[in-house]
Amino acid sequence: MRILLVEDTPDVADAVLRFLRGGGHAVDPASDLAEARAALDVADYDAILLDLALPDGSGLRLLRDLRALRNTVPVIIVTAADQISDRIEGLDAGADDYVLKPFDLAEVEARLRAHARRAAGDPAAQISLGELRIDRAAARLFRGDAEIRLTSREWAVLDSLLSARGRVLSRRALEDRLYSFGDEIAGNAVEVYVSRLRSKLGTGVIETRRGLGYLIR
Amino acid sequence: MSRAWSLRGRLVRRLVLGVSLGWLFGLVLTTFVLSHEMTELLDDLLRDSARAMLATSSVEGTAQAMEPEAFGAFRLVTPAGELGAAPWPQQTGDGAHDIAGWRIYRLSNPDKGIAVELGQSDAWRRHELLESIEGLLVLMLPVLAVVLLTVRRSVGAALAPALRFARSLEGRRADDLSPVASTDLPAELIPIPQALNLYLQRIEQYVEAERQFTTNAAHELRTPLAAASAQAQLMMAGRADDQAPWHMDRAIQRLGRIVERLLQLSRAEAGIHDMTGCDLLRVLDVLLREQPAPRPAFDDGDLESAPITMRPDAVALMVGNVLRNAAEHGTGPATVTLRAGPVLEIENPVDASAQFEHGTFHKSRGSEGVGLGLTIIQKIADRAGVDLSFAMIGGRAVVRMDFSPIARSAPQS
Repeated sequence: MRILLVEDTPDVADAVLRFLRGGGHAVDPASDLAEARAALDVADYDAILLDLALPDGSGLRLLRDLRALRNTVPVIIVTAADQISDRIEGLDAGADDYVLKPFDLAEVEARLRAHARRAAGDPAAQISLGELRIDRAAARLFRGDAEIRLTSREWAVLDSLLSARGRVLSRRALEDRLYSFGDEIAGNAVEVYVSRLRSKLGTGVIETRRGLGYLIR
Repeated sequence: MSRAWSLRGRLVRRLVLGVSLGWLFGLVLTTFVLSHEMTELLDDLLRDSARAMLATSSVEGTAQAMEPEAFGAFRLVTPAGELGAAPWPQQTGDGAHDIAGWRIYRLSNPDKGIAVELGQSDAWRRHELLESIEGLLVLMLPVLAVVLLTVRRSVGAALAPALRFARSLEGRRADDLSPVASTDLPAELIPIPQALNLYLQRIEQYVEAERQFTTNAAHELRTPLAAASAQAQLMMAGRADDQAPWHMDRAIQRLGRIVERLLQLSRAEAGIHDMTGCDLLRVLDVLLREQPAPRPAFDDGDLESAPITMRPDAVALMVGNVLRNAAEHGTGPATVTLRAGPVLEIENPVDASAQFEHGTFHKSRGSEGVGLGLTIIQKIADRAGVDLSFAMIGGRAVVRMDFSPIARSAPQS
């Protein structure tokens, strides 16, 4: 998943960033509304983690602007505002979820996945592909009873293809979901991860459309 | 507590008493006027009767019969003698006379040589007057009753809006700070709800400010807590780098600073004034000695002492926060200057873009401050009566504290 993290407290942003990147997600940090708008202008995100109290205004302004433009990207508000009225205001402004600081990073990641799945039109966490059983909520993959271990990048590629199940995802689209701004991208990185996945999942699960990209049926 | 008096009861009683006294006074006045008018009327009657009798009488002594009520007795005096049974002695002069319980009118005709004396007893006249007054009373009593009833109803109706207003206040919850309605109150009472609404508005503003402050305080405490917690989780998940402990320590230090300033603010609100006061110079000496290096330069203006009516702890909180702000947001050491007044100035070099952030919990870009320090300083200054001003002058942040409004004269040595 590609995630926009809008958080102005450096220590909080740093921890969330590291945790999500460690889970194989591409995360772009923005410390204020201006940076968040700039990032949204050039990239498509699967989800946004949005703090409310930002130096140049409330995150709700950004959220309302997004919804006014009919942008349906899942937005999870992450804030220290603990009043029920704050939550109601956030949800009314178009947020999909609301997480109160201090929070559990694993829970935030799980909520991000769930909202991204729902936005992609397939909210089911359990998927079967032949003899493969995929638990997207727990980011685990089984063949029969045996678990197949994937690296975070491999999982990110598989999860992205599952999110677009039945549709071809271009190499560029996959790179966008794997890498944040400023990351060094090896020219054949996607091919490498797809190749590794095929060796673990078996051939035929991920199909190649020459010149177009990859898909999972 | 004595029982409260009733405005309605008092108004009704006083109005009834007033109307009754007025009516009685009117009655007395009427009686007086009536008596005077009746006297004139009856005198005229006596005179006219005397003229009529004189005209119809002759020397022989015959008199035409007169209506018995017009007068009580008569005397016809002729050269032949007297006719009639008048109980008063014969009069000599014409005109009205008052004689022992009688009002007499005498009229003579020298040509005929006769004279007539007609008289009405005073008792009869009083009786006639009383009859007239009785008639007046009988006619006036229902009017008086109607007046009293009208007074009672009018007072009730006039006071009804005030009573409704009082009942609506009585029925309000203690925590209801919404404006009170005053739509049908008379102009004389409008200032009450207006003043009350202003007062309620101020209370609501205070309550809202307190609520906002508590919310913001909770918010500011949660953020560093979240940072520390997230860094700990990162370490537990094995995704942390070697900077994670540093991040965690920074978050905890920030948490500590906010807690400390919130406690200071609470202390500042607890009490500032102290009539025994303190010596500002002495407090500054101790405070500056405790400052971490590099310590601010101190110019005491050669003052021997600077007594003020303020708690030394409050002075330390206020000046300490200014010094801490200077250290946290300045780019160089602070300078502290004390002058007669006493007036204290603390200044330090700052970035060209620096400015004082006066909003409590307002964030400014590139600063971890949330305006609590300035809030504490301002609150203490306001409560103590210290004139406080902030300025950016030539790349230096200057905080000026004028203690002269609370200065005390120096003790005699």
